[in-house]
Amino acid sequence: MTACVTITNLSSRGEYSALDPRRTTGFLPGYSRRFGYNLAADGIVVVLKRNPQLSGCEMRVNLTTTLAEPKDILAWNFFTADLVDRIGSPGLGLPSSMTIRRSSSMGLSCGQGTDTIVLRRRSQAFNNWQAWYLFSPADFWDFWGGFNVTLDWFSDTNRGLWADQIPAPSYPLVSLPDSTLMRDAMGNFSLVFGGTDFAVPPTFVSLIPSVWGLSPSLAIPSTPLPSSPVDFTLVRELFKSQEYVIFGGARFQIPDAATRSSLGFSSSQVRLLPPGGAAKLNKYPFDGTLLQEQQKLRVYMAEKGKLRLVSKAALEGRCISSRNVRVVPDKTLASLSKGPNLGPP
Amino acid sequence: MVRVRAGKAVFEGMGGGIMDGTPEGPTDESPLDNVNEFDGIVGLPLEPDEGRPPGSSYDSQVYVSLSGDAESATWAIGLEDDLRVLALAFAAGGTALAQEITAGLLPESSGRSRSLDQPEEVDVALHGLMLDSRDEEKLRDLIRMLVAERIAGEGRRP
Repeated sequence: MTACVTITNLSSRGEYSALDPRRTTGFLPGYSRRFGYNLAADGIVVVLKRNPQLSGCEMRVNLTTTLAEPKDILAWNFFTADLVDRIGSPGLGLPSSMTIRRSSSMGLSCGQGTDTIVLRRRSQAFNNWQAWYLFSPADFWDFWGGFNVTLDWFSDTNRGLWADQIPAPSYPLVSLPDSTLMRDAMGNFSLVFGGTDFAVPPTFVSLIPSVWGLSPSLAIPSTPLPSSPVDFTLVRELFKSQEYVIFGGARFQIPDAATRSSLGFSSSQVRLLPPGGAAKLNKYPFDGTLLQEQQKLRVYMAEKGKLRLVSKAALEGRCISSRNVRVVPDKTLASLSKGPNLGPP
Repeated sequence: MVRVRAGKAVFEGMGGGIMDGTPEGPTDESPLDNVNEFDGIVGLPLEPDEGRPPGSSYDSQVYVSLSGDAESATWAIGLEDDLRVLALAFAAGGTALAQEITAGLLPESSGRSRSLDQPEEVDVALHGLMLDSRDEEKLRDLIRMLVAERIAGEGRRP
């Protein structure tokens, strides 16, 4: 048994959140996401794309920048307080991509592997490298492990807030809140739940105030939204008894109120969809969705329309965080096709 | 709060006190201005004449990480939080305060590292705490004892 204990100081002001792609909606397929970072003095776009070749213990980090001032990104190990790998701006003679491994995973010893990445700038005034930013270590790996992470460092003249001036992310992250009423140029109404829109049939428009408590005259202009509701959205279609919880864009039926309660939800969280709205919900979850039935310990990973049983060794060996495993009602996974088991990498 | 020591070139500027402002230069139109193109945005852009609100400081936070095989062990549940408290107490009041808050929990310190007494391998790394070597060794000793006590407690559990 080995225990690696590290106690260090981290800059409160420079440690920014790694946003959870599973608690946001997006236009890109599956869990791919595009996040913007208004850093204290820089602007960065982070594009996440799930890479099925990588386990959760691994990450492919890419840097793109055309800025004149040199930039680099260090793969940093807290135990040794030293870098493990480094990528940088064109012209520095450094690669622009690196594959990093989570510290202490995959049999790595204490001083091996990466805890987080550190973003640095080459100061012209001081003629030295200055570390400005890093990502919260646990979130960085739990949320972005298994992804290609491309950082487009597009600005070093941005003026933003320091990390300790920004509240922690409040999930789910959606562009429009629940019960937003939208109206398009043709006069068609739609309702927003879980970050996506559900069309209101014309015959139900007159019922919008009484059923959803909204005034059609206050509808905002329609805007394109992602096609699937965000994780943990609860829905029921008007005049239907089936209630669903959404994970990985797919629906999982909640059979009764007791099950809903045992999953940690309440009736007030159930959103009422217009008739036909449930047709928008997928049957199969996105690739990479991790699911577990309530009474069973088995964890499955969705992959190409099938569920793959994750072995106990693979849970640890692939750095699968329990934070990403979604618990669904019993028997809801029975109807989904099963693929080959998923072992350790 | 414990002050950061910029002991490594990599952390120059993370707590050393040179990053209060931003570089001079024009503020270009930012891709981040178009929020609809993003699935999430961290932070807000400031107007050119807008000052930063109060709240940011050069103080750092004590970060504790536990990794290795122990990470998933039952005895390690909450250990990171306990170690953080221990480190903060040590920084605030030295060995005396650290021993005071753990009184009754830990055996008397042997005055030397106990790592050799333990079958488990407990590697401890301390960075940026601004302790002299003697205090650093005391803190290591306390950490190892805390870990050993956790493991022993697990063994005593019915």
